[in-house]
Amino acid sequence: MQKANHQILELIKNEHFVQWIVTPSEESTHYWSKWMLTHPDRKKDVEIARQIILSAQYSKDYKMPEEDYNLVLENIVNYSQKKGNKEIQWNPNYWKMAGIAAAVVLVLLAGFMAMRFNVSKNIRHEVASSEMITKTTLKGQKMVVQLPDGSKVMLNAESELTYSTHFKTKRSVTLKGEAFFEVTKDKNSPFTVHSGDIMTKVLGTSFNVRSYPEDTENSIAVVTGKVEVSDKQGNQALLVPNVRGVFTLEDNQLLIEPFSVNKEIGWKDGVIHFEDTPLPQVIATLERWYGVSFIVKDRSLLFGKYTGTYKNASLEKVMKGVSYTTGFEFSLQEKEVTIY
Amino acid sequence: MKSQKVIHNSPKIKKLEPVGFDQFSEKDEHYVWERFIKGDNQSLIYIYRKYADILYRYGRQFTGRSEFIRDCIQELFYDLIDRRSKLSSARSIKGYLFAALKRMILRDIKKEERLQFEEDGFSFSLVESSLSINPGLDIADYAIIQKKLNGLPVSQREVILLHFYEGLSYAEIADIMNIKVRSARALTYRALDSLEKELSPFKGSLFMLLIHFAQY
Repeated sequence: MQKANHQILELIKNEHFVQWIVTPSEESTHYWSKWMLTHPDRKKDVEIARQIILSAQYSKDYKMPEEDYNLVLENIVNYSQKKGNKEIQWNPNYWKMAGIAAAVVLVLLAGFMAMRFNVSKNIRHEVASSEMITKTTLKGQKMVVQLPDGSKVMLNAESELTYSTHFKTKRSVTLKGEAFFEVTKDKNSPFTVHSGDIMTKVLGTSFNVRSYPEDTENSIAVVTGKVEVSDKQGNQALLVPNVRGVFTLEDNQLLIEPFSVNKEIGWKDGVIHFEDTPLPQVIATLERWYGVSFIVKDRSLLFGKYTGTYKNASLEKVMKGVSYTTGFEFSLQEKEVTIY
Repeated sequence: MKSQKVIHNSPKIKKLEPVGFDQFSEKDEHYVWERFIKGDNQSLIYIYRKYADILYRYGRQFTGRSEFIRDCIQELFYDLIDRRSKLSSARSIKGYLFAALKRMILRDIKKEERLQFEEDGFSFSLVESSLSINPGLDIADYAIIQKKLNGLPVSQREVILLHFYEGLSYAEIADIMNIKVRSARALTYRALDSLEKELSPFKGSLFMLLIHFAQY
């Protein structure tokens, strides 16, 4: 038994092993998976070592008070801007203006803080044990989120991913919008995605979930591995690579069909793909993708469908393509596109 | 003349798209740091957002005075901005920030007599992370390990948390503790060795478990 303990300790003392457990990267996961294949007798040591390392937590897990957090952020940004502006020529008017502006900011800030303070005081006690972490993208944004288990999530525009600080205990996330998941394999701990009424359960795979509020159907498209999907109406299916499950929200059906990679998950590689897509939907996609608003002078311009594929294209280029085949004119001004 | 044919890969140029900084994954942190050094304010905000709470939790292990730690964090960022152009680009942000914050805290604690070290800073709370899923340690084992770890000198508790929880390397820990890398390693080993002694005369479930495994 002495020997077994010693072998566990040996792993815990290995700096690279510890770093793989705490902050896994693609390279380290590759290395240690291979190592375990060549040392099958050490698998249990690895498991126990992993548990010991991951179980170590601060017993005093303090969080910075929210009002302090905001105040310091405000201060350092101001400080940095002041430093950066040093080269600007000194001008009495400039300083007077800056003084007035600063006073206005201070008054606004004080009001804001007071509001914030009251609200946060009430909330903080309730969530002390398990806090939720939320990652949000706005129109025109994409974001890569690395989860504590090493899984990677690429969030599409106008989407929201929520998970608990206890994620390591239970691999579960909630999604609004669209995201592509690359889930780290752990056959003993399933990874679940909740999107509306739909639950997607996997062990270790990559797949895309789309569930925007305005969508009439939600889809889960699988790239690698096996994925189990189900909803509250009792629909259920096991999806395999190159197949997607489509939940139609109107009549609660689950359809299983092959999908076009460009259309379904091209977004993560900067590909916009339209295939007989109705024009209002084309415009909605472009608004989300580029973070712009469309002004349509005459709705009758939006009859018809459009087919086309763009990779890393500018909005202007896409609009030229769309307007050419559909026959409308457009003008582009900063964050606004007018169609006439 | 086929051998002369050279395929030129188009060089990968990272371009900053106007989509906000959150799109960067951990790997790109280096790039964020470089942008910060060049004077970019977005990356300053990114670094603050990512590390403010982590630094605060670390700082609070030394003293219970919340405003003092808050001020130290602010000063740390002011300092970072002041010396921005002189910072070296090949650095781990986390290790650097931890080391700088600790220096600041220690300096001020010395200055102000009334600031006392927390006695139970860096104490552990062991959470059964995967108890229900995988075979391994049970609650009794965790209790024993926790008790043992909490009985260690505070500097050993600190290195264990920096290593196991924060995921910092021995080189980064050495920087934070202001000791040589060799000493950081030795300090960690000493803490872990005492754990082995505790586990050795084991009568609890870990022992049973190992017997169980030995049968396979």
